[in-house]
Order: sequence, then C-alpha cells, then structure tokens
Amino acid sequence: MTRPPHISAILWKSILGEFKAIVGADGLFSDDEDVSLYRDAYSPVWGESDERLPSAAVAPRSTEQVQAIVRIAAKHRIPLYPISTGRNLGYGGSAPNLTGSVIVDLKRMNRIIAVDDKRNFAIVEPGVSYFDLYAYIQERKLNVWVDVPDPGWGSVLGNAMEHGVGHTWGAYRDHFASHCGLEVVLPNGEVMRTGMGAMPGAQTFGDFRYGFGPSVDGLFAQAGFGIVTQMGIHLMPRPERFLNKRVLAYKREDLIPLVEVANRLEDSGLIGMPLYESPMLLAQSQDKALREIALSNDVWNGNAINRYASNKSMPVWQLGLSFYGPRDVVEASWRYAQAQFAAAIPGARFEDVEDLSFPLTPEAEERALHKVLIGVPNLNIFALGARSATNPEPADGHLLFSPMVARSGEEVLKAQRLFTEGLREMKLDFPMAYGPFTAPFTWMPRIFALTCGLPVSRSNKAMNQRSRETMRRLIELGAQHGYGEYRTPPLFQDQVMNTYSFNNNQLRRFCETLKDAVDPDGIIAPGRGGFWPRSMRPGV
Amino acid sequence: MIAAAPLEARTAPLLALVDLRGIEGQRFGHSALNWGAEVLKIPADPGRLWFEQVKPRLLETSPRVIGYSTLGSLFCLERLGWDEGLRVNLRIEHRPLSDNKWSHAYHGRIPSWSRFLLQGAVTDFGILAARVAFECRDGLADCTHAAPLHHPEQRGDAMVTWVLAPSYRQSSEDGA
Repeated sequence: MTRPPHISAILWKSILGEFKAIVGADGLFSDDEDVSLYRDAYSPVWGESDERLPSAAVAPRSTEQVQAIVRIAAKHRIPLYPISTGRNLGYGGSAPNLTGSVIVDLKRMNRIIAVDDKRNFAIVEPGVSYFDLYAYIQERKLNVWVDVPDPGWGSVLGNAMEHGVGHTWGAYRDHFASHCGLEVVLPNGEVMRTGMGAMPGAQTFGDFRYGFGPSVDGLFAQAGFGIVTQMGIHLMPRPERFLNKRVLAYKREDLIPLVEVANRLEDSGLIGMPLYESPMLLAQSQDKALREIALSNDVWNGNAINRYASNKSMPVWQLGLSFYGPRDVVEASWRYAQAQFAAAIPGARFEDVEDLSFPLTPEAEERALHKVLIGVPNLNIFALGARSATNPEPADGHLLFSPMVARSGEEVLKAQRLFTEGLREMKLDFPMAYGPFTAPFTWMPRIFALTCGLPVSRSNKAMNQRSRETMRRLIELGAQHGYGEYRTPPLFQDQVMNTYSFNNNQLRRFCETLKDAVDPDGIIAPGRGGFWPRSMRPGV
Repeated sequence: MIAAAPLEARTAPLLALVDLRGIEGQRFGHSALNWGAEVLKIPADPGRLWFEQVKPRLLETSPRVIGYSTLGSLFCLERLGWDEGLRVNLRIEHRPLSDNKWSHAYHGRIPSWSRFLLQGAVTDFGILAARVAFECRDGLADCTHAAPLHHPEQRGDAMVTWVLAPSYRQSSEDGA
C-alpha cells in the first residue's frame, strides 16, 4: 500500500478515519484494489518505479465536504489530487503528479445547476459529463448545444480546466475560453467564487466572466491552486442547419492557400472547425510505392507526391468545412467559401459531405457521420484502436505529444519535416505519427496542434521506454524551434514547463511564488503544471 | 450444444452485452438468450449503449452484466461501470490464431472447470464462453484494467468475455 509522504502507518490509519467521517464508508477508497483503479491506464511508466501512484481516494458529494477534506489534508500536510471524472487519457488519466497523493474524486458532485437556453449558458459541478449535460438538454428540448471533445465521456468542468477542446464553432471549442465563473475551494479550505459569482445576489454568474479586478480563473486550470467545485460555461445556440463540405487539393503546396482561406473564413465567423486531412496518410499503408515516396529524403520538395496525386487523381489534402446557422445563411456562406477556395487553389474540387437540419430524430442522429461536429458526445473513437493495415500492432493506449504550431501552411510543412526527421534520427518510424501527410488539428480556434500519439502498453516496458524517450526528444526538439506543448501527462510537465523559459523561466518562478504564498505545503496537486511549492522543489 | 440454464439459476436479472459482428459473438448472444439474459448488441459507440440502455437497467434492477466484446469496448464499459461501483470480475481473452483457431487466456482467478471447458475449444467457443460467464460467480478476482495479454501468433483483434458486477470483495461482504 502506498502512503502519503512522511506519514506513518498508524497516523495514516487515523487520517483515513477522519476522511471516512466526512465522506462515509462508501466515499473512501483505501484498499489497493480500489486505489489501483486511479492509476493512469495509459501510463508510459506502468508498473515501473517512476509511476505516480495515489495512496487513497475520497469521493465527496458537496463543496462543504471538499472543504472538510482540504482542512484535514492541510492539518496533516497530505497532498491531494482532484479529478472530475478522471478520464484525461493520453495526458495522465486520474493519476497524480506526486506519489502518495490522495485523489479527490469529484464524480459524485454531478449536479447540473442551470442550463439557460435564452442566455445560452450552463452551470455545472465537476462530476457532470458531456453525456450527462447532453441528455439533460435533449430531455428538456432546450435550444442549446454542448461542444464536446472526442471521446465525450469526460467532465465538462474537468475538460475546461485541462484546456480541453472540441469540434464546433469558434470559441465554443476552446473549453476554458468559454468557461464563465468558478467556485473554488482554496488550499486553506475557504471557498472563493470568481467573476460575478463573487457578488452575492448577482444573477449573472454564467453571463459575465470578469466581474471586477484581476481575472484569476486561469490559476485553476492545469495548476494546483484550488479545487474547482462549480463552473459556468457558455453554450452555443442550436443552429437550424449544419452543412459539411469538403475541399480537395491536389498539390502539396496547396496547403498554404488552403490554410489562408480557411483562416479568413473562420476568423470572419463563416465556418466552424476546419478539419484538415490527407487521404495519403491511409493510402500509404495500402500502396508500397506511396510509402516509399513518404520515406524518401527528398519528399519535402513535394515533386513525387504531386506526381503521385496527379497519376492517381488522389488529393494530397482535404479540408472539411462546417457551416452552422440559418438555412439561407449557411448556403450563402458555402457559395462564398467555394468561390474563395476556387480562386486561391487552381484545380481544387469540392464535395458535399452532410446536410442536417435540427432538431434531429434519434435515428438521424445515429446516422450522423461525424457526431462531434454537431455536439453529440460519443465513444466511437475507441473503435479506431482496433488492428488494421495502418495499425498492425495496436497498443493499449497512447501518449499524446501536442505541439502548438502557427496557423499557416508554411509552418505546418516546416514542423512536419522537423518532427519527421527527428523521429527518423531516433530510428523510429510510426507511419501514423509524423510524416509528409501529417495534417494539423484545429481544435483551438487560433492555433494548430500537430499532435501525434506514441504507443504505450501495460505489458510492454520496452515499448513504454521507447515512447518516453521519443516524447522527451520531441519536447526538446519542438522547444528548440518555438513549438510548445499545450498539455502533457504529469511525467513530462516539469520538462514542458521548463521549455517556457523566457527570462530565466520567469513564468515558472512566478507560479512558484504564488504557490509558496497560497499553498506552501503543497496540499493541492503539487507539481501540477510543472511547478512545485518551495518545500518540494528540487534543489531547494 | 449446451443445455439451457436451470430455472433456479435465473433468479437474478441478467444482461448480456454482445458484439454480434462475428460468428462467435452470435453464438455467445444466442446462448446468453437461452440462459435467460436480455441481450443487447454492442454498437460502434459503447457510450450510447451504456447511457441509454445499460445505466437505466442498472438503476432499476441491478442486473448481473456479462459480455463479449473487443478490448476497446470493454475498456470503455469497465470505466463506465466503475462509475457505478462495478468491477470486471471475470476476463477471458480470445485471441485469433491462424486457420480460424483461437486461444484463450485468463486473468485473475477462475474455476479450473472453466479453463478445461475452453481449452479444447479452438474453433467454436462462443457458447462455452457464455456458459463460463454465466456460471462463474464465486472465488473470482478483480481484473478491471488488466493489461491485455499478447500472443506471438495472434492474428487480428482479440475478443474478450467478461463479467461486470459489484466487486467480488463487496459481494462477499454483503453475503456475509
């Protein structure tokens, strides 16, 4: 059994009794069998000495219980690690930064406090999943949408606090950007509300996120300054119609105008998330000739790819366009977009993908092609892990490397080459990781994520070691060229934070100063975000 | 052919979640039906199945849930089950080898009779797997989140027979 640092077995038993008195016997998990469920199922250090293991878990049902838990932890200097529903797969799951931490499992705090489809917001507790909020809205036939991540089983609040992302329109898919007001239990056990929540009697918690004075909400995302127990979030009005169209481009260099036009359309509010893909990514696993082109040293000039595209009439790039809004407006927007792409990319072709009018019947919803584009939570993505030509040896999970790359075609082509050659220098070849057909993800409205998944296994330590080493090298390589990660598992958070090193790591040092002031004993998630309180800082 | 379950074995409601895409899944589903289970097909999205069909039944009648699925579907279902206090108490992986043969690998503790039963079933095993899932109730171990077992001669994706129920420890405490 793992115990919190510096806590004897006798004292630990007594502390567990204190927790039990707060949350009840059914809210305390201290047997190995129960606690092991909180291990990160996608851990790249599964079963190794570096794996971060919790000591116990407590599952409160109210903010008052969270306060009491924090006060007990503060009294005994026990690190807590709050989770909402604990998914966060690929970025650490429900496992803490520090071994011995007590997990504060908030999934039983699952009240949907408000959904307003006139002012378009919701207020939720941490245990509310996207499935829960979606069902609540559907059952009441409310005229709002939830922007959902993929997969959609996580917590609405937890995803926002992780800087999680979705797939619909503009700022809605940046989930922290669309949050509006927090209720937080601070490391001393007091409760704070931010934004308009700080004003007793205000009815605008879900409307206006700033209130007055400094906006401190960001301190509670990817950081350990408190336990968030309530959050407002802006919701998208349900549109009349969704049009999904596709632009096909047949030259490698077409990515440059493709991105330029898409940026203009998106930043003007005419389209939702642009979905970039290359059909050649999958095709290379079926055609040896294309795979050889992809692996050749001079692939980057694009000549061989363009010849192949021309011979096979296969697009090098395709771009999915989502239009949301009134019937006439989306059709006019599409006509405008089509004209813009046709002018910028000679030879571009266009395809109809989907045309949906809302509300959908359950059957029509089931048939919808890409559910996350229309705010329908699902777990279809787990079927993608199955064995296939492109995935001949499925892993148990993946580790996500997610560098942020400027939203331009030139920058994508540059980063593609950088990371591909970086992998090749390490003698690694993951066809589905980096290569000349890697397309950017556009989950966040103003930036590209050139994300790749590195395989992890709960039974293959050699695979994990290789992925860890690759991850560390990619983080280093990216930072050397200004590509920083937006999110990473605890194992890599110190390294990533240290890559944000402007002015002698002033960002990290400022966070440490705040941590020392607010949580000097490291009660709330020490190490989360890559900074530690003084008492736990290496070298202090 | 295995005979249908005796009536006294059917006292607790039984729910079977089955991937019906392959012949063994169809055999498993058919057999589960004979054992008195309500059989639900596992679709591409196990989340929808869980929230719309399984969770309401769990709240109404607390059925014992048995299943035959891909590892990916079980990964989703076991985590969703965890939220409801359930654990994977039985887990048998079926790995396709060459010549349409299968090998079976076990996690945790299961009775020796069930090992013998499946050991010889290198081709038709769906009916036997359903029987093992239905009849294995005692002396099991928690194998939630168990690491998939790999076989050097594996061809294609493994399938898995499982039982999702309150942890064996909790059950025995309740029984005591």
